[in-house]
Parts: sequence; C-alpha cells; structure tokens
Amino acid sequence: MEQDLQVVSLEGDATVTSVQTLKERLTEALDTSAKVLVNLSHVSGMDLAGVQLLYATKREADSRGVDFHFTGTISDPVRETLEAGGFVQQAPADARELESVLLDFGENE
Amino acid sequence: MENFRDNFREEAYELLNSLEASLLELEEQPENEAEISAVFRSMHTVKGSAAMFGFEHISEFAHEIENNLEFLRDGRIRVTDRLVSLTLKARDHIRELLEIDEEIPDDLKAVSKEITTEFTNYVQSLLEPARTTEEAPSAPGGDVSSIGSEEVEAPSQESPSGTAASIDESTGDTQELDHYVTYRVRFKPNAEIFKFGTRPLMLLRELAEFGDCTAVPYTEKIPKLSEIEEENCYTQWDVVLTTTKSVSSVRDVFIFVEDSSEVSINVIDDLSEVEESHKRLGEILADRGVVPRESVDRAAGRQKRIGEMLVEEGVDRHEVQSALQEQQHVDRSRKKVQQEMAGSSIRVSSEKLDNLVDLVGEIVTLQARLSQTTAQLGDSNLNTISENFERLTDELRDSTMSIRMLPIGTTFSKFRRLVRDLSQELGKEVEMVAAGGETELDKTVIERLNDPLVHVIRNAIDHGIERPEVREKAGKPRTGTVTLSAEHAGAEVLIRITDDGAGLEQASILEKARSRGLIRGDEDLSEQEIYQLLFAPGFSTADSVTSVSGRGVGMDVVKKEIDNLGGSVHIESTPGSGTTFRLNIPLTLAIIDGLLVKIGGQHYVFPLSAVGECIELTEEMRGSESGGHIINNRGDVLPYVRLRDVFGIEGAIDGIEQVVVVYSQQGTVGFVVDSVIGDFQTVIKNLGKLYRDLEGISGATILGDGTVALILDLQKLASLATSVSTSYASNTNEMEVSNG
Repeated sequence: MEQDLQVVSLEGDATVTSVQTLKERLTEALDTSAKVLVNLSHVSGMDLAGVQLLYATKREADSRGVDFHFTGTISDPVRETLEAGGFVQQAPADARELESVLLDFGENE
Repeated sequence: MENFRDNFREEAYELLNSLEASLLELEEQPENEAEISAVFRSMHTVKGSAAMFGFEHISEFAHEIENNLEFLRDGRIRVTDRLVSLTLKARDHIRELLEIDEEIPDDLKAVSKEITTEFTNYVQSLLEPARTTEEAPSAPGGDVSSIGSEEVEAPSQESPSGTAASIDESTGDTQELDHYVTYRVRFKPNAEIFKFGTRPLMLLRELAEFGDCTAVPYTEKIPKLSEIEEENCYTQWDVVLTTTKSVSSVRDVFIFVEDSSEVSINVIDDLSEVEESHKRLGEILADRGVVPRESVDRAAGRQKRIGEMLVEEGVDRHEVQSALQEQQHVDRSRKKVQQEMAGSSIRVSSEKLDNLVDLVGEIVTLQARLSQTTAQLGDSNLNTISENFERLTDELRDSTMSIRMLPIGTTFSKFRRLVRDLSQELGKEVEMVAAGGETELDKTVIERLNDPLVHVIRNAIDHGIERPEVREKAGKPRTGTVTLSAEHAGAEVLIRITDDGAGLEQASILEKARSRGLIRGDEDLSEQEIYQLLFAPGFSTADSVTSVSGRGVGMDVVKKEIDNLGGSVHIESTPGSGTTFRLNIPLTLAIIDGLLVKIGGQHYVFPLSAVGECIELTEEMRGSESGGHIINNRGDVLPYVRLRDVFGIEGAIDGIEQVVVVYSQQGTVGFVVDSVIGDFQTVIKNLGKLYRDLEGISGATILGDGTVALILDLQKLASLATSVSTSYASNTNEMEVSNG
C-alpha cells in the first residue's frame, strides 16, 4: 500500500545489536512511502553501525527518489556519537538541521 | 638504558597510583565510565611502556589483565567488588615486579600466572550469562608475543624532510613529550570490526582525550540500504591530533585492532618550534600522496581556489575535504600552542631541584656575609647594592622553596587504599575523609611523613574504631570515620588524624605502662603525659596481637620520625567519642627562621617557630632556686637547662645570662644562653656521618662570616630539662605552695 508520508520513530538504541531490526523497518518505509521522516528524538544510544545505517538509508532514498528527512530533536547520545566520529563539525540544533551539517550527507555526490 | 628504566619505574609508580585511585573510586561508583576508561588506560600504558623498556614479564602480565578489562570497558561486564579487588591485587603485583631488576624469579612468575588465571576465570564467569548468540569473544590482538614488535606503518615515505621518521625514533622512549606534536592518523577499521567487539568510535574518543582532535570520516563506502551489511564497518577516518603524547601512546590506542585494521600514524607538524607559516592545501595533499606535486603546482598556477581546482581535476573530493580540515586543525593548534606556551608546566627531576635549593642556600649564606662586610665598610653605594641583593635573594629563596612545595593531598589519597584494606582485614567498616589536601609542604617532608601517618591511621582503625556491632550498641553509626586534615599554622602545618572510635582509656594506659616498667607506680601524670606514654618504645595497649598492630612497634616510630622532622605530636581523646592525633610539622627542612644565640664564644641557632620569649636570668630569679633548675617566670614554674652545662662549656660569662623560653611537647622549657643575637635566616646543612647521632643537635648552618653555628634540637634538649625537673618534682610542689 503506497503512502504519501511515513514517520519512522526510532526508539531505544541504534547500535550494532539493533541495526538489523532498524534496517528492516527503514527498508519497509522506503518501499511503501514517497516521503519518509525519521524521528531521532527517542534514540537513547547510537554507535557507528547506527550512523552508517542513517547514511545508507539516505543513499537508498536518494537513489529511488524518495524524499527522506530527519525530524524531532537530537538526543545527547546521538549528538555525542556524531561528534566523536567527526560526522558533524558543529552541533546541530535539531534533526532538520542535522541534514545540512552531516558530512557528505547531501545529494551532491 | 638503566636511566630510562628508572624513568619508566617512576612513571609506572605514578600510573599505578592513579590506577589505584580510580579503582577505589569505582568501588564507590561502579557506573563511572570515566574511571573505567581511566583504569583501562593506566593498565594499557603500563603494558605499552613496560614492553618498551624491556620489562617483558610485566608487559605480558598487564596485557592479560587488560584483555580482561577490555570487557569492562566495552560494557560487557560490570564493576563488582571482586573485580576491583582482583585488579588491585594485579596492580600490587605489578608494583612488586617493578622492583626486580634482574630476571623475574619463578615463584613470582607463578604468582603472575595465578593472578591472571583467577582474573580470567572470574571475568569469564561474569561473561557467561551475558553471552548470547555470539561466539566466545576472542580479544583481537591477544597474542602476547606480538607486543613490542609492532611498527608504525608509514605509507607516505616522502614526508617533509623526513620529520616523521626522526620524531618517531626520538620519542619512542617517553610517553609524554615536552612539546606539542600534530599527528595524522589514518584509521581504516576492518570491515568485521564490530564482530570483534571493538567499537571504532571508542578508539576515536580515546584519541580525543589526548588533545585537540579533528576526526574526518570517509563515508562514501557506506552503501545503500538495500546493499548494506549492517553489521559491517564501512567508515574510515583521517584523524588529526595535536597532543604531547608520544607516537607510541597514540599507537597504543590501536593496539588491539592494528592486526586486523589499517592504522598509520604520521607526524605532520612538530610544534616544538612554532613559526607563522602554515602548509598550503596543495602541500598537504601532496604530502599525503593523494595528488602528484605537479598537479598541485599546475593548479596553483591558475589563480583559483586550489581545492576546487583539484576536485575539477578529478581528485577525490573527500581527500580534499579532509586535507582542508587538517589545515584548519593545524592552524588552530599552532595558535593555541603559542598562547599556551607561557602557561605550560614541565617536569623536572627532584635531584635538579635539590641542587637548586642547595645553590640558593649558598647564595643566602653569601648574601649574609655581604651584608655583614658592607656594614663594616660603611660604603653607601655598596650598601645600596647589598640591600637590593638581599631583597632579590629573599625572593629567589621564597620562589625556590615554593617549587619544592607539594600538596599533601597526594599522600592522603594513598591512604584510602590503606583504610580500605585494613578495615576489610579487621572486619570493620571505616570511611576515610580527607580535608585540606591542597595544603602544601616541602617535598621531603611529605615523603618522610608517610610512615608516621600510616602508623597513626593503622592505630586509629585497629584500636580506635570499634566493630560495627559494638558501634551500633553504643548508638553510633556502623561505619566509623577516620578524618585526615591538614592546614597551615604559621611556619608549620597542622595535620590531624581523627577517629570517632572508642577513645583512649587513661587507666589502661597507666596500668600497661606500669606493668612494662615505663613508669613507677606512684607517679602523678597529666593527661598529656599519659598519652605520651603511647609513644614509648615497646608500649602497646592492644591485648591481642593482630597482624596490623599491637606488636609494640609503630607508635614510637611515629614519635621518632616526627621529632626528626622537627615537629611534634599531641593526642586529644574523649572516651567513647574518639581520638585526635595532632601533628605539627615544619613547612620545610631546608631553610628556617632561626634565633641566633651565643654561648661561650660559639654560635647556636634556635628554630624561631618554637621560641616563645627571651628573658633575663636575674639573680633574683636564681635566688628562688632550691637546688633544682627551676625559675619563677611571672608566677609560672619554668624548668630550665643551662646549655653551658649540657655542652660542657666553661669560662667567664660576659654580662647577664638570657633564658630562651621554648614551647615543646614536654611543656614550656627555658634554655640559658650567654646572649641572644637576633633572628637569622638559617640554611640547614646536615652534619656529617660522624656527628649524625649527636644528641641535642639537629644540624648546622654557616654564618655570614663563614663560621659554623649548630642548630639545636629543642625536643631532645627539652626532654633533658624535664627529666631534670621531674626528679625535683617534690621541690616544684613546695615552690608552688610558697608562690600561691
């Protein structure tokens, strides 16, 4: 069933132990919607696997022409992880801003 | 090499101390992640540097322990009391191993084996329930034999003027450099790194703790969602790090992953000499071997932004971006280093410091001679110079002494371990509270305070603090408290060791002292005198001999050490609510304010801090003497000693004799001297071996005219005086009556 918009709210940990489930959810969202919003407000922990998944989702969405954005706020664990890995040089105020500051996240490949 | 090994030992002791502190902290806050990584890091550094200095056994041992701690850092196991105890045990073992210079004997090797086995088994038992679908976690890089043989991979051989190579060698020996170096670390984790249980971001965080760190991830390898193996690692980094850590410390961060992952470390900027210039973007790219130098030059030839140009030329955009960030990082670091240059601290060996203090002592002495000579010559020009020189000398002395001052807190924190171990051993619950740790004391004084403090604390826990059930019955909290405090009091530091235990029983002290023959049965002693009996050699009040105390050694050591330091011990105690040991310790042992006196043509120095007043010994005062050396000082009984008698000086006395009134542990005592000259900056010199055990003299100093003056050991002399006075105790009583 094709939907216009779907919000995927990530909850709990986005880490190597949970990326498999998250991947399935995100894949399903991309399969079924023309616009996907990922809500990061409730992510309590994130590691490199989680970050990679966000990039992968964005790349998948771009390749299929799905409109993909972040939404919500950025929790401290997420912010900390992104900073530790150098994925952001300055802390984004919210999830929408994250898209513009996240390194190599844009479509201009 | 021996010298390096000694340096390593020094450093290792420090590391082990901080390891201990972190462990004790963890015991109280098991969730404290900062302490967990501190523990890990300390063990890790011990391992790395042990290998470097040829302590292979220590390195292997630390490696095993570290492997186990890895699980802790990764959050697979939690901190437990047992784990802390085991790690403490391992720490103590390393400390023991460090002392050994030659080949480690087999029995100690067996102990190592025992500890690692116990440790590993315990950690495995913790891991057991946590393990799920995963295979048994094999610590990557667990092969001990590989330690010490790893090399830094250096892909860009044409590094600018070969700095990378030369720095590498020169810094291989030390963990901490005296200047900042900027490294470029290229870290390409193995695709399956997550499966090893290693988290790359943890490594980056560890690097970030070393200093200013810019991590630039390469994300272009991350595939689309439909193609991703979500449990693989696709990201790699260029990390630019400015730090004072040596290349080996940086390398150590990656010690577990370097077998499987690509790690290369290069020095890109040595900030020992900071110049204004910075590398151009093109240079960085050429250095990295990304772009041939010709392309850079060609691009630079066209007046456009070089980065854009090179991207247009087909150079990888990520590389350019990473290089750009490196450029910014280096600029930033250089600016910071220039600012910080003034405020940074350096490590100096204490030997050099002692030397400096000696030299300053010489200058102080020489300056005294200059003043004296100037006064004799009466030349006003020379006088001005001399006065200015005196002012500068004073400043030089003060600042030199201040360099030697250390906060006593470092010693205090060591005792936390002691308290913990002792209370466990004795089945008591004791908490240690420290206050005034920032109080500064001369380094040598602090070192020599260690033993006395250990004895007093042991005593407080063993004899003072009651068992938990006893405490509860007495309506006190189960956990006893030992409070250590330090504060300045004039030229002295006052250290208090207070326990809230049972307090001292005067009756039982007296009884014990009588049974040991320390006092006669009929003596009437003041409270303080009774407590001082505790310090008599061979005295012990504990009826049972424990491994901790009660063997009659210890408290007399306390007294002796404190006396040697020129300090004093007092005890205050309230039965039922606790005991306080009060130690008065002079700030320094090197230079003191003294009172110069003359006896029979010779000069002597009283430490001024102990002197209360000077009075004339008039015939009238003498007249009240009835055989004993007692005078009436404004209504108070003052026992006195004629130093002429003590030192066997004869000859005529010129003028009226003076009494220097001194406060000692034995109470107020007067010393009769020929004349008092005045205050004197006394640079203390030790007496030679021959005179070391001379009673009543603690040292010597050199006067302005080059002659030697002896420094009086007032505690010794005072006890002489009081022993004289107690034998005349009956006289004293009579006199008091007649005065009343």
